[in-house]
Amino acid sequence: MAIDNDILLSKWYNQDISTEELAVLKEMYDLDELRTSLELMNQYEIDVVPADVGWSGFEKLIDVQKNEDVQNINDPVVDDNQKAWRKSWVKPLLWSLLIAILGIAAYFYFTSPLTLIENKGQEEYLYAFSEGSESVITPGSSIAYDKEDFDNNRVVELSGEALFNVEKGDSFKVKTNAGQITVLGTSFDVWQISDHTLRVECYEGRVSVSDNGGQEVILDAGESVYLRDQSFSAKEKIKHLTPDWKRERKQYVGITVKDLIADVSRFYDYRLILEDIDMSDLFTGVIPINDIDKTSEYLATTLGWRYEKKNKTYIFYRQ
Amino acid sequence: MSLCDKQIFKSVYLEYSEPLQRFMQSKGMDKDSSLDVVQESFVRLWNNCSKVLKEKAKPYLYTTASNLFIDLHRKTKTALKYREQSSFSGIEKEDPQYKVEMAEFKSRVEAAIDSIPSGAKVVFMMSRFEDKSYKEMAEILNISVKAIEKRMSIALKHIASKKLR
Repeated sequence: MAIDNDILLSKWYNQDISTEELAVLKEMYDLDELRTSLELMNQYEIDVVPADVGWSGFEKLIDVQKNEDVQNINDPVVDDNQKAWRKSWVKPLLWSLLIAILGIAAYFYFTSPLTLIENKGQEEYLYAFSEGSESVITPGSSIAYDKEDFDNNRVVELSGEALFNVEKGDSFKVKTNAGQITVLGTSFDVWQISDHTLRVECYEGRVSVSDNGGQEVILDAGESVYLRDQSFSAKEKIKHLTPDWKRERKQYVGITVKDLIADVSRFYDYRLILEDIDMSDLFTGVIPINDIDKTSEYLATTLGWRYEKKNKTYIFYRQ
Repeated sequence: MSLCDKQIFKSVYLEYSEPLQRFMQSKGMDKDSSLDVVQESFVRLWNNCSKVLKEKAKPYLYTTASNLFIDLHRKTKTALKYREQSSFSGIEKEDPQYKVEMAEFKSRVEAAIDSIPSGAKVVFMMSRFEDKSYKEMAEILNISVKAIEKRMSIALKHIASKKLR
């Protein structure tokens, strides 16, 4: 049986590893050192508030809540003349609201709203689907999918950039505004740079990238392609097996400055603004993305800009 | 057995309060924020006590707490404390040099755990500090056991790359 290297460490940790698998793992890691590190961690526990202390606090919370409910009951009673006046229009209004609410509920019931996973933080977010596939969502990006129906219909909508590790099975589709990617079980990165520009890198298996008109390019492992304004670039070979953002850098080729700044902004909790700079200027280069000052310095130096920082905003100007 | 019976509710509270706090801290919340989220989750359970069966209290609490975490999305460092029953035999705990070394070691452990990507970190901390099995974690997090195995491997890879001693 083939050895799945991705889960060997977890099998060792769970004491559920075969002799053959253990031999492979020993070649990869110093297991004695790791065992010692884990044993040393046994000295610690997570610092929490004891349950009996928490219970006292909880009882006070529900007592406060009960007092607020009693307060509402003791509110002044409305007099009868006002009640009669309200009755004439309240009932029809309530019926209208009920119909509207039922209509909205029926809409959502029959159209099955998507589950939205947004990464609003500053670090990558690992999300697991119920059938075993995973997505690593970069900062400022999001995915949306039909959770109820996912086992039958593996379709994910992406805004931004994410790495996908797909469990083998029926087709798995990633949709973006710029195009869509279909795979059968593989590892690939999808980067929607803007509404009309998409880049896909395939690390394992095979993916199909298609534009909104049905044109298609197939990528094998170690290949990448751009899809700009519904037109494919030539396929390129890639030597790396992980996306750039995992190595704290982003490579851009012929991208407008407007799209560049919008994409870079996702990684930081700052606003990046361009003043008196032609947004249609094109950029090609590799930008560091682990430090906002390094990124800004690099952009300024490479593009002949200057910048200033005001609170949570970086403003770029022509020199 | 109704959750609206205060004694029954209290037993549920005492059973899940601490594991739920650890769960929130493993997601990246600090001690105070974790308690806030846990208390709010129990308040919501109390307000819905007539609608939730006792045996469904656990998934209700974990789902509510997870949703509150997404709303709040606060992320801070891991905070550990020394287990009271833990000891190094033959070492004087009041020795100043020992205290300094242990404080430094604790920082390295916390930093090592914080270096683990968020999804993998939750699994690692639930396993290491709560002794949850892979099956239990899969049920709580609503993902497959295979996904748990992958995340655990990611976490162990990160720990293996750090020199804690």
